[in-house]
Amino acid sequence: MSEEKDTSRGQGFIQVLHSNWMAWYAMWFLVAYFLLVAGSMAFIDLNPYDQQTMDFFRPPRISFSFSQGLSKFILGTDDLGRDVYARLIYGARNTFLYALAAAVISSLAGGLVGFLSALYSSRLLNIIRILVSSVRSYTPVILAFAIITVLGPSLKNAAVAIAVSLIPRFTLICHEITTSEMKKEYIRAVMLDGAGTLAMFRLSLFPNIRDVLIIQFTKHFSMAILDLTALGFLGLSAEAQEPELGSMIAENMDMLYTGNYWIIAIPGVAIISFVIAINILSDGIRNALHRENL
Amino acid sequence: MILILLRKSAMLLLSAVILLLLTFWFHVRSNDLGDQDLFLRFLIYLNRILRLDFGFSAQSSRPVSGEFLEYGAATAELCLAAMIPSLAAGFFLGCFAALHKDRWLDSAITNSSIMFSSIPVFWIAQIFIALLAVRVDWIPSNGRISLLYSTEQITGFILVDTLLRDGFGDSFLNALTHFILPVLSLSILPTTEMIRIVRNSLYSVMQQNYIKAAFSRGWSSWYIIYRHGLRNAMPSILAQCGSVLFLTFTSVIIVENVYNWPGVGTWIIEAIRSGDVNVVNAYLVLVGMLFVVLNISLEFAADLSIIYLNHPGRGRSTPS
Repeated sequence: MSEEKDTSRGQGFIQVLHSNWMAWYAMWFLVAYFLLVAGSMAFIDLNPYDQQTMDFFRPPRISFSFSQGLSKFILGTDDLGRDVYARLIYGARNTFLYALAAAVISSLAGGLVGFLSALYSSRLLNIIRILVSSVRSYTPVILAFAIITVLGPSLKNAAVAIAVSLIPRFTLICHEITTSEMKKEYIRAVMLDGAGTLAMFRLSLFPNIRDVLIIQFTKHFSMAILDLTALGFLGLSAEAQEPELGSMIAENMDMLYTGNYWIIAIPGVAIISFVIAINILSDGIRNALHRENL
Repeated sequence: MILILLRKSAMLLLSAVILLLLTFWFHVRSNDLGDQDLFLRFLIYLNRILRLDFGFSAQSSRPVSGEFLEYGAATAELCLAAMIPSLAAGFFLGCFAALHKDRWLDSAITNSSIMFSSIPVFWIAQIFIALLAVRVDWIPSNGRISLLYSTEQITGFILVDTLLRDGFGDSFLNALTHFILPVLSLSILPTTEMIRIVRNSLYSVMQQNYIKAAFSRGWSSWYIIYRHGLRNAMPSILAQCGSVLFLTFTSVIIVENVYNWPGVGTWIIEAIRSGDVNVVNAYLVLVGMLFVVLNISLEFAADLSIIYLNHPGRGRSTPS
């Protein structure tokens, strides 16, 4: 088993993914998803705000004729006559971009604090641990309550709240990985060779914990998506007309009782497929690397 | 033992103070107190919080702490009803997965728990409404009890109240059917999280040599899990249990809003929408404190389990 571990260490990221077919397809699914959103925004004239006064609440219908091309509202319109496909594409862009920003900010800040405290100071760690354990007692959604009551609901504030409340988790994880890796012999050997702390970190420590960081990042990304959509559903992230996947579900909640399930199902499937793909990807990387204790 | 207790209580105190500073920032920002003597204001604020005086709700003009108790009972009842089965189910499924590592049972359990943990709870809750409450009108999907029955409160827990008043009558059954959908949608996420925690912690223990030795003695796998596996995995499981509580407390807010459950979740969302800062402040203080206490007592339990489960009769050894 240790031999397998060593070979996978030497391989590139793509080969690691290729060894797990589910992760491989998940990656291609994410690429296709990105191309669909980006391509629709670039090449199709979509307007998520425009209300069709004649076409309220049309069910989805895909028809194609050579004279007219694809039918106009392939995913139908909602109860205000807005194009569901346009709202879906723009909502997906908003949701996933802001969630990505929250994940990136929290992992950068958390990583910085975690590495610094692990590499340089043990006393700093105690202070950080107390800070972390008190900030950790707010889940992203609950911290967002405070920030949004003060600053007002918007996607940016929701993303900030999620980023802030994910920082402690990432800090602790980075710290734990670094301290456990620092005890190993190869680090000691590098230090005995006379490498400074920074050189040791850059040349030997970081390449060895990079995979773990990637896995943790994907995990935080999927958590950020779920929290952001939950805030959108509670009406605390996107402003009134702005398309967002969670608030799309909340807007059309009443339509459930008329028996038109598609209007709830479409944004839900958009969220779930994306999050499942990310989770399978991170799980596949983890299995390929034989990193079980994460 | 005493040392751990002292260390944990120091940690508790410090975290509580930092938490109060955070909520004080919220208090200052939401009430426009920026130009006053902040230290004095903090002392006044601290004094009020220690007396559990959170002012009055702007919507109902009743004391906030009384309202919190009333709504908190409904939420606690829902959380308990969802967490007990999901903790038990997650625990056993996680044990199964760790026992059958890398076989189809393990991959079935792990992959389906990944799938279920990717489903947003607000979405699955509405799908349940659509399928079970609208499509086939089997289960009610709104509130805690039908309006036909009296809602006089005795303990605040509706199942206990109806039992006390009518015994196993119609009102009890009615309240019970109102529980089905919220509990179903609330218990998915904690179950998947518990499966993940138990499987990973137990699996890393099951790789040890003493487990192989135990297998070679011909013991049954469940006995080995009980005798060696769980005792050694327990500290790590307990230390991670906080995330299960976190997930439950986040999703209960959403579940309550979908099913109109009159609990803390609907209360706080209504307060945020109408700018009722006293309610939001009380919520932040009380829920934050609850989490600080829960987290630290879980850590304490994890430390205790290192001492007492692994070394029976050697209670004085210190954990690393």
